[in-house]
Amino acid sequence: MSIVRTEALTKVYGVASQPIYALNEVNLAVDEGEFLAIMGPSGSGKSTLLYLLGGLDRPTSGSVRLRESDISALDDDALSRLRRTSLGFVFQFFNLVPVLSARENVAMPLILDGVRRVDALKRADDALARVGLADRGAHRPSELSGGEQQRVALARALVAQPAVVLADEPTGNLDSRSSDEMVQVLRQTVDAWGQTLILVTHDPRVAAYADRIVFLKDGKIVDDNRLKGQGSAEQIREQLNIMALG
Amino acid sequence: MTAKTNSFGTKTWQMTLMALRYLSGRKLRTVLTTLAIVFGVALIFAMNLVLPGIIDAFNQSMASVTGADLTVTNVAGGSFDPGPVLERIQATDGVQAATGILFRQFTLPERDEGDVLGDLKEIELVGVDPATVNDVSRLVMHEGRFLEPGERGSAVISTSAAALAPRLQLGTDFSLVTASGLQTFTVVGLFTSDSVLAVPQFILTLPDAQAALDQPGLINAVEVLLKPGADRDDVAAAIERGLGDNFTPADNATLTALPAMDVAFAMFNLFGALALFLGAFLIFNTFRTVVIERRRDLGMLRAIGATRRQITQTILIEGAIQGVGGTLIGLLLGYGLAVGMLAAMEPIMHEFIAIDLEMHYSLSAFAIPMILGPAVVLAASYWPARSAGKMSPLEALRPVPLAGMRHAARWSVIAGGVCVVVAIALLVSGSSGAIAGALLFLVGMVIAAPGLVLPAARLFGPLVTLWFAREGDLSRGNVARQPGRAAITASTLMIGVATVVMMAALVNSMMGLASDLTRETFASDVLVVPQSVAVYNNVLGAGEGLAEQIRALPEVETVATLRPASTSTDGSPLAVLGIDPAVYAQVSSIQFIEGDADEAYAALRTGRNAIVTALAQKMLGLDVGDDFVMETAEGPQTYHVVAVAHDVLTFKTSSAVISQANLAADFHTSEDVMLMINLVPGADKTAALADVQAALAGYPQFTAHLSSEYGDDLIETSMGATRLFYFVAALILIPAGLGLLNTLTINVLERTREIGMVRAVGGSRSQVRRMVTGEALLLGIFGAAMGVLSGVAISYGVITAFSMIGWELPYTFPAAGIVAALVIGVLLALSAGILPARSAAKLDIIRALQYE
Amino acid sequence: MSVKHTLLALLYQQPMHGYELGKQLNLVVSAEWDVKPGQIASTLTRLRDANLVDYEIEETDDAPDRKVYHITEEGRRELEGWYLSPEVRQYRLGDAFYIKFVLSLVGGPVSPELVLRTQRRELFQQLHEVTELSRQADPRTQLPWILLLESAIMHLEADLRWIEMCEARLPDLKHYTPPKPQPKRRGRPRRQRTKPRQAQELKPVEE
Ligand SMILES: Nc1ncnc2c1ncn2[C@@H]1O[C@H](COP(=O)(O)OP(=O)(O)OP(=O)(O)O)[C@@H](O)[C@H]1O
Ligand SMILES: [Mg+2]
Repeated sequence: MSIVRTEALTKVYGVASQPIYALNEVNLAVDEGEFLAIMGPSGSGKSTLLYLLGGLDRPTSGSVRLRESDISALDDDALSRLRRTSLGFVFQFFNLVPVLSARENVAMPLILDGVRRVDALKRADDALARVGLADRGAHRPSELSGGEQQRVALARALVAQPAVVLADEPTGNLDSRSSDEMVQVLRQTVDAWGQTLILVTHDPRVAAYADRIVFLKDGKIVDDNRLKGQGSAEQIREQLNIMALG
Repeated sequence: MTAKTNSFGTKTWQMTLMALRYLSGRKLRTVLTTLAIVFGVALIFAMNLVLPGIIDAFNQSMASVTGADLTVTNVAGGSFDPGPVLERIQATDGVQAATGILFRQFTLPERDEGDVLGDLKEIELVGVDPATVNDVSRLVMHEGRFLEPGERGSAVISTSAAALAPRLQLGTDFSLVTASGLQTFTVVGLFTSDSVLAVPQFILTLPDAQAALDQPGLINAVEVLLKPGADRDDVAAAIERGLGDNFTPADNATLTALPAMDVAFAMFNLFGALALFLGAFLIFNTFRTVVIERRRDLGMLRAIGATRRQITQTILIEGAIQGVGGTLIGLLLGYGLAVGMLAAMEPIMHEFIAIDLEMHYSLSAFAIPMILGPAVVLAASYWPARSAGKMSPLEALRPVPLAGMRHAARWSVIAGGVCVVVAIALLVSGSSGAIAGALLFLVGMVIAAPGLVLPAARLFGPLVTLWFAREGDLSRGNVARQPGRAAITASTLMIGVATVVMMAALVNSMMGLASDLTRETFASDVLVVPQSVAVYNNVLGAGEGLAEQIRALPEVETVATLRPASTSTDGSPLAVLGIDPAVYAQVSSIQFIEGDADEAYAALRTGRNAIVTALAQKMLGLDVGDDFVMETAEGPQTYHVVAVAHDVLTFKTSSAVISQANLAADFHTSEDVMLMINLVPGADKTAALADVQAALAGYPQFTAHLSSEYGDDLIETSMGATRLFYFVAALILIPAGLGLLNTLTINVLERTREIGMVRAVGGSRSQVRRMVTGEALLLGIFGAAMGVLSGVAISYGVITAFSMIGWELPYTFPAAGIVAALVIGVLLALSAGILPARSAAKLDIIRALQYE
Repeated sequence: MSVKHTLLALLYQQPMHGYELGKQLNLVVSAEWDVKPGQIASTLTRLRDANLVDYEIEETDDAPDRKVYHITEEGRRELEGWYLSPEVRQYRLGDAFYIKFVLSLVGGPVSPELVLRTQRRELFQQLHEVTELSRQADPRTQLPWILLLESAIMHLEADLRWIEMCEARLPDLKHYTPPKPQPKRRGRPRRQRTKPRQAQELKPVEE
């Protein structure tokens, strides 16, 4: 049962005489609780796909269905509501409003949706605890490390219990250790809460945490790779001997 | 979602909180922007506190005297024979009682320290008929008794009079100036006035008042009490029908605030509007910057589900906070400003009209700035706020494409150029669109500014490079790189400089005309003038006796007198001056614009002929040969225009000069308010002056001067008045300077990282400082140049507009003013650049590079 | 991998008998690196022959006597020398996949894209599993194991990046034609040759 599905999703930039196909008839279905990584060379349309999935932009043609309803048909206000109730975003940069504390940042989607401030902040605290930052709620973004900031952004993406969390290179700006921490937390939200997660990354290490990797090239899906569960220890031992110690 | 109760409050509160944090995060800028609002509000508030006071001072004299239901007056404001009028009114249906009164508000002359009249300056003298007045009026006696029928030499005064002259008590004798010299009266009663601030009133019996005002047997108003239940409007209509067009019920006799005053008020309002425009401009600029700067934050909010409206709201809330805050501070500052302005104006106003100025705490004085301040801020931040809301989340998350910038610049030049061309056409056509043309010119310059930045940078760049060498080139690059920002900075300065140039041009032109006229007008040897020359109605003149007395002096050859009255023609106010055509030409030289002087004086002697001023010619459409109808105490009378002429006393007024004979016949006035005296050839002027002064002993309302000195004094005083204009022009420069400081500071803030880079690759502190200063200088020259152009255009427009309403001012090119404005503009820009340049130079390299 | 030096290093800690050595070896280095008991025994014998270790007989009641091995002075020196000689990984310059890929470039039944993609799938699958193992390992007790997994992860990553790079350069590689093999001269050169041919041979670089 797919929670997000695209049909012949196409996005064209530029003038009619010189069209740039950022996305070209992409069909993609993501299951509930799936952790999907999108990979591909720079300019292959990863971000474009993510933005279309998240209703941040409108497709040139084709459709995006979230829980079977076509979001391309929604007007701006309805899309905004959808974003704050059913979608969560984490970006590479500029995730947080600098003048608000971490918990206020996290509470923002709820407050925008009209949840009472006290309730919103309480739920924000819960979400911060989920990403392991229970004690940093009062800090301003500038007082947090890059990794912590990204986890605050993740907490914000999770706070409204969205259907799908979309992350565009959330670890792109982090060192390997913070990146690992971040991706561990991401994996955990999928394992522990069945969160559906779609993540764009350049980092194979990060993608390796996913259940499925989709490769984009020139606006098309060129490979769709479902990663099997844990292989036998025996096999790995053998492989290790070959690969790592050979 | 659960718990959506009170959702509006939560969102708004959160937005407000965020706005506050953003504002406090950029304190310096917040302060600078808010200052712009503070200033606009302060100026408007001050104007509103002060101006109504001045206007009221003029209008007070026409306040209803007692408190009757209706007051019937002559449409010309003149006095009339009570008999038939009173009878008719009393016979009208719905009228319970009616009584005739004679009243006049005038200024008391300067007195000695210890005079019983104390601090009283302006009083209203009311003559009543004690037999009938009590049936109508509702005076509440405070002390003593009211007047008895037939009584002479007694007065009842208002408590507001007693408040200013504490020594005036029951039984006190006091001397009052009258048309026949000083007269003594005794206080027999005090009545309670409506308020402490009410005009002090002195009530005499009708015969006493008629003698004092030189109006024997006449009254100038009938006070009417209606029968219970009678409809006020119906009775008024009935009275009007019964009396004919000559009389008008209700206090319809509005005093003609002098056109000159109107012009002054218009000027002040223009300043207020300019200040506000400037403020709005700054706010607009700041918010545009804010939106660009916060693009990513806003995009993020959009991405996580904020609607367009919510984004627009955040920016507007920020505007509202600054608007409200700025307005409150502005009100405080405005109060201070008003106090200062009053102090500055007091001596000048006193000289001219001898009126005490007071602050006016009207509802509108508070309401206008309190509404305008936040409203202007909201309006100015609305466009940036909307453009913020319109931003798609993606635009905000991706770097801005700078394409289309040059395109926009070209359009701005074209659009601005079209505006300027239309504006020039309007200006040159001299039609009623001159003011519109002036403003359009300014708007056109503002629009064209972004497109002019590049050429200007190229044109003035070498100048800056001369001074700042290599850094000058950097400055030029910086300016050219951000044409929009540079344009806004320069436009701010432009408005300030334009104001100064306009002021200079106006003052130049006005002073030129005024001094010419003054010299020619006071051609007589000695002048006897009341203490205030501008408003005759407030002057209690002298009867024939004074002129006779002076004429009898041995040194005196001729005495010509001026007698005033006020009336209306075709609904427009008109001042009337009575002269003796036989002698007036010998003592004064009115400048004749149309018609021949000798013929005109001759014509005045023969029938109802009049010389009108240029202002009257323009305003009332009167040309030589036209007939027009004046409302007089004797009903409408047709006069014939024989010439157009004016002098220094009338050039700012809409006036008609007629013979004193006609004045007496039609207006029942024979009161002299000014005497012009020619001496026999060879007479000792100083001795003659002393003699005249001796003759004035019983008339403290008059002073005598040698005309030559008096003219100089008058010019001097007018100069003083223009100082006020310069003062206000300087006030405009303050927000212009603030605007410059604001934009330059923001420039530096925005380029913090870049400046860090310049420092990192080896730029020295002083190079950075010179770079920023050079930028300020370039902007200063650019802005000042635009300001001079607009200033010339605006002043030309304003002067054209003046001549349309009859103020025929020759346009004097304000060369000195332009040089001054250029220097001021450049200095202002340089000094506004000092702080930002210093802070740019002081930047810590590492911190600057990390600045987001 | 040197079983010999591993045993020397363990014996350096303390004397041990053969069975103990086998257990320790697996504990310290890796549970996954399976060394057969026979291999240990034969290695020990060789070490003793080289005079790097020696043993004493330990007598026990219930079992046959055990040889307790200890390191000799010569063995210490050998161990030191081993520690101080850097290990150089053998780069698999001609490994199987490389050959497969290059061959697919010159033409074959399967496109180079598909070859790369297939390999990438496998590498990601392995990376996924190794990551999973590493995630499940307890860093407090299994640090050496984690380090080993990490090394594997990094190699897999490197392989993936290399594949990524190959993919990115495929458009260029497609125009690649292997250089024509130079006809190798056999025997003595002929004396008589046609001139044009000679000229051709003289400037092969320019072609
Ligand atoms: N606003 C735009 N206008 C024109 N072209 C655009 C725009 N946004 C994206 N593109 C083009 O669409 C293509 C896909 O862009 P996209 O940002 O989705 O790539 P990406 O896979 O996310 O790249 P990266 O890994 O560098 O982030 C690119 O060729 C890009 O140049
Ligand atoms: Mg991208």
